[in-house]
Amino acid sequence: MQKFLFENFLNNKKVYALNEIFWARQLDKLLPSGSIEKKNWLHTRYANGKKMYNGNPIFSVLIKPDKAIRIIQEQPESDQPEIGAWVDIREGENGHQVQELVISMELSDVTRDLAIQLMRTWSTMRISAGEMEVAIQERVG
Amino acid sequence: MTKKEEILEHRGRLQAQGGGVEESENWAQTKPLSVKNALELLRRLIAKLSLKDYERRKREFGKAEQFIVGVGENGGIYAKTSQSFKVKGSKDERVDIEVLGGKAFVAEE
Repeated sequence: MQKFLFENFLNNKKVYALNEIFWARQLDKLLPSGSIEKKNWLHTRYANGKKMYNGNPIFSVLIKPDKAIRIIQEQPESDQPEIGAWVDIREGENGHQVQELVISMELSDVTRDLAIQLMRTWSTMRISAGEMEVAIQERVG
Repeated sequence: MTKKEEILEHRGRLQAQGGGVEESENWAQTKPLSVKNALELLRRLIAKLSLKDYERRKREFGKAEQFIVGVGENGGIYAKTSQSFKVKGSKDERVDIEVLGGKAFVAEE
């Protein structure tokens, strides 16, 4: 049986902050030194300055030279591990194209491990978007 | 920026993707997209889908609408913004919102 992590992150700002730090630390451990171009590069604040505490995304990172990762967390509610992933081609910060691994999940001990495996594959291997889709299919289904 | 780029500073797209579906509604304009017009684009996106593909994403379209309205109540949002609402139990079926340039989802244009 899976164990949810940071279960009330959408209702408690302190837990939300700890959740964000959790992912930042995971990426620091996974990514080769010097490969991070920018963390949390996508806006998570409204124009009035208020922060969106919706987990969408809970973390984002640009990786040199042309990759990105975006992590979306949803309210934990499922009996079975809930995780999906895909690769998108999108505009990066300066209008150039980046290939972005997007992981959307309810965070548990099970989905955490799957997400880390996917991020490790994407960030540390010379892997194309198509090959990453195969890897996603093998791990997540 | 060229003059044309300056004129069309405010741009983005709404998408329904995954599970064999790839449809979008884009905007590129001189002023930030209003909530009212964004919701019209969302309706147009829904109209592009089969009933089956819409039903699969009904909850997620609801979340997208909620997000747009909520942003409007908070003054809009700047690029770059990405929101993806994945269908539970699916690998990648989803509704996406991307603000690629400028500002979007303001109360009035």
